[in-house]
Amino acid sequence: MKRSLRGATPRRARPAAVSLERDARNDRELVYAARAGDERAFDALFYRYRDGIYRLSLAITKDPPTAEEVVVDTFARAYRALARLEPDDTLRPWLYRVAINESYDRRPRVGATASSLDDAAEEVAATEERSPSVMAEREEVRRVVLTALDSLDDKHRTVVVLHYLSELALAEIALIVGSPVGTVKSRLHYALRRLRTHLSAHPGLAIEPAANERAIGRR
Amino acid sequence: MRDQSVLPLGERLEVEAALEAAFAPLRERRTDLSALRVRAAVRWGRGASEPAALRAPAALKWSGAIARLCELSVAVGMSVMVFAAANGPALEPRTVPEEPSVTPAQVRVVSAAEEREIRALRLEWVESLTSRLDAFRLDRYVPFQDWLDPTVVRPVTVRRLVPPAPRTDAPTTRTPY
Repeated sequence: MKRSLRGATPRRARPAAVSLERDARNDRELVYAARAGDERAFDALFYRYRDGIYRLSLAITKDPPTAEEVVVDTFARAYRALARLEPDDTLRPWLYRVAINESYDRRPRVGATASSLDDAAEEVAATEERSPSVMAEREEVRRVVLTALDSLDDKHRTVVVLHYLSELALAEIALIVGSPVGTVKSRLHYALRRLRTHLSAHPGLAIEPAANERAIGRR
Repeated sequence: MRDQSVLPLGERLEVEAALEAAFAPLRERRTDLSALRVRAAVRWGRGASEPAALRAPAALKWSGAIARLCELSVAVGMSVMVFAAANGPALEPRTVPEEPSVTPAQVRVVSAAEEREIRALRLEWVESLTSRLDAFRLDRYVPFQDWLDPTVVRPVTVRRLVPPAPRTDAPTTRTPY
């Protein structure tokens, strides 16, 4: 088989990382332990949130090396801020907020391509036994959706990525973006509507315009 | 004005399904970054204190400032010199002295006989003294100037190289002696 399957399946984590990732202590306990000098506690926090932050940053920057830099810088900032951190139960909102800011700081301003996401799609496709036409169709849908997502402004895109990629609840997204839950709902709703408008313009997706837009069109 | 009307559930689900499909490959992505890289970033990154091994010695603390000061003083000096030379009074051209460098008072005209005597006293006695050692000398590779040295080269060779002596009957030969 010509194509390399490296990364086609989730990479097997190292045993040490797995044991740290499965640390039963919650974030608050780990933060206090790390503050007391327990480096393994901080490592446990790192392995717990590493992949989530990496994916979030990858969705924004579209560049794997940059996303890895964001992960490292995010945890480096967390390490320096250990003395000030007071997490209630989870450190995730704080880490994600830092990661989002770092990602937008490093995001290419113009001409960004979704090459990393294309690579990921190829890896997934390699594991699935589907006909080329189905794979091509899925790839086209994915490309159109990501292009539509890129057309959103930062605050709406952030909410969509956090909700549908990171699968965070609206209350937690509100903590991350520093806005009330109602504002997050509003942004999500607006983003979905904009996305639907974009997607309906593409005939291959068979998505019709929103009902109120159809009504406006009839009038 | 932004449309705030509620998106019907069916329409919302279609968009969500498209988003799920688009994000599916991304959810499979993982990184194998190590926590060691974070520690390295903490120790060596921005805001971290520089390791003692890489810190400059205290003696060199002011060397940079002193070096810049020296450079500045040289630059100022050169600038002053250039401006002074450009705007100062022009130098007077050097005048050639009218008197000859060798005045007649320092020159004595000698006769041909006196010159022969001088040559015999100052040159020929050297040759007469060293000629006995000629048989023991080797023709060495020496600079051309040394070939004129009778203590180094055989007198025969010197005679071949040295230009002919002035005529003995020239009455106007000048010598500073």
